[in-house]
Amino acid sequence: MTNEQPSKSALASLGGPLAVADAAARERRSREILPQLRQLVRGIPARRQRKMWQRRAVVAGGVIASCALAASVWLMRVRDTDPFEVEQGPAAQSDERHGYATAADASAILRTLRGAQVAVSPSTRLSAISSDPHHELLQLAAGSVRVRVPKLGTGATFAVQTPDAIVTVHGTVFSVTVVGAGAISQTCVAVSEGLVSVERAGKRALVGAGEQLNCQAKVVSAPAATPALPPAVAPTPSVSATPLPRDHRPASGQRPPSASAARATDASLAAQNRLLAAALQAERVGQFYDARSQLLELLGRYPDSPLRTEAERSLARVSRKLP
Amino acid sequence: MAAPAQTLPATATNAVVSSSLDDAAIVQGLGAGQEWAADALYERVHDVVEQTLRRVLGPGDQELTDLVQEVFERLIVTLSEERLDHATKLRGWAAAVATHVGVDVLRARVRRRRLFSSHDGWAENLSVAGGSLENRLEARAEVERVRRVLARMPADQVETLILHDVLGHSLEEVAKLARATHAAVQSRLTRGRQELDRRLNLERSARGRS
Repeated sequence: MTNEQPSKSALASLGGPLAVADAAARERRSREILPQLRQLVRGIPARRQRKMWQRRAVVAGGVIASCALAASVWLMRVRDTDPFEVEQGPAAQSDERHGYATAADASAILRTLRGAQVAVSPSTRLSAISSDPHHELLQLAAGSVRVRVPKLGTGATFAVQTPDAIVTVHGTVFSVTVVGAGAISQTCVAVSEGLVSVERAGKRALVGAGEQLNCQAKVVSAPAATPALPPAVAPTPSVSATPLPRDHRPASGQRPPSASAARATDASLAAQNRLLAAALQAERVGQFYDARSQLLELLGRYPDSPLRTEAERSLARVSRKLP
Repeated sequence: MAAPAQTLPATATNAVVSSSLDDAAIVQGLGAGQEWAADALYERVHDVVEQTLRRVLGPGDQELTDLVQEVFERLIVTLSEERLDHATKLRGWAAAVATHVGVDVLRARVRRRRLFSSHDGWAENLSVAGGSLENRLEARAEVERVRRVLARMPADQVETLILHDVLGHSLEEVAKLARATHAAVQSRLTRGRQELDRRLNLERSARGRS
């Protein structure tokens, strides 16, 4: 290969003067081309208009996409918001996302996004499963909480889920305690104001003001360690209901009594429940005479009791166990 | 600048229209869809377009009319969609578009192995070739070699070489027409010349061996 630079002469050969073009051919060419160019030019305004609309559509699409993106980011942030605000007590001590835990010597008062106040007892593990504005669901893995829920709007729910039950608020101050752990845990629900429903093993029971569910001697004392909630505007209690002892709750879907009717029979039903619960408790601990006495009292005082069938069955069973 | 688009008679001759308007007015008329603007554009730049295509492809190219039309269509579409600052010098802009079209055709023909026809009259139309048959044949063979080599080089380098070294545009003009920086055009020019040298030397060596 040589080191010459032939490009200069080569390009010069391309750039040399050209022979004059044939005038007739040029004229013929212009006659062929010009009509088509004129037609092309006539279409330019329409084409520009189309382009403009296309550009506008692209811009509009971009704006919409940006808004959607911004909304998604906002939603993600909202969903990622800490569901609890610590009003009193130590900061969250749980490794769990959206969780809160207290040490053996600590308690706290939290406020949820919706404004429910949650008094957390020592040695309690709590987390938020859902912080949806209309459906707040807390999970109580261990320990005890006392909750004051503001008046719920239409369709709104507030619930506390334990390993063995779901306590749904119908308004307003209640405590939930988990005793034991895992499969052997038991949930005690005590209601101070209003009404809550307790769902367990597919069955649902309503627990009204001043009533407790599954709170045995040891369990009942648990909420005592829960810090007292500050006074709040008096919540509107919902319908009162009769708590049923474990294994004797009405089937799911059973309608609760209306407010007026329930109020009229509230004391009676509560008393019947207490008698049946006391009888069953006495049977469990082997005090069969006491159990039979309670059952007889129930059947004697309340011959039309809805618990009659169960009471009679229990009486037969207890009688067989008598020495 | 006046906007004569609405006042010109439809029957104005191309020459009158073209000579009475500046480039910007023609572009404005194109944007407004005025037919006289097509005539004015044609009259303003058709000689540049034809000469550029003839230099790149050969003056006797049988597709010249089609290619001239293609160049004008590209010019009109581009000028109607873009701002004026790219086209304030219509003749330069037309030369760039014609070069682009010509180089595209050149490369396509090489790809199709339809190398330059010996009947395109290219060498015969070169007035520099002198009178002797031997000179004219040698000139024709040289030009064919150059075009064959250019057709295999990167298109941006070839276009820069033609605009600068063949058509005589300045680096600034080429940069503006190619919408590239001065440095980029300078680089293309240098590399293009080196590549052309290398390829022509290779070809000469091959011819010498044979």
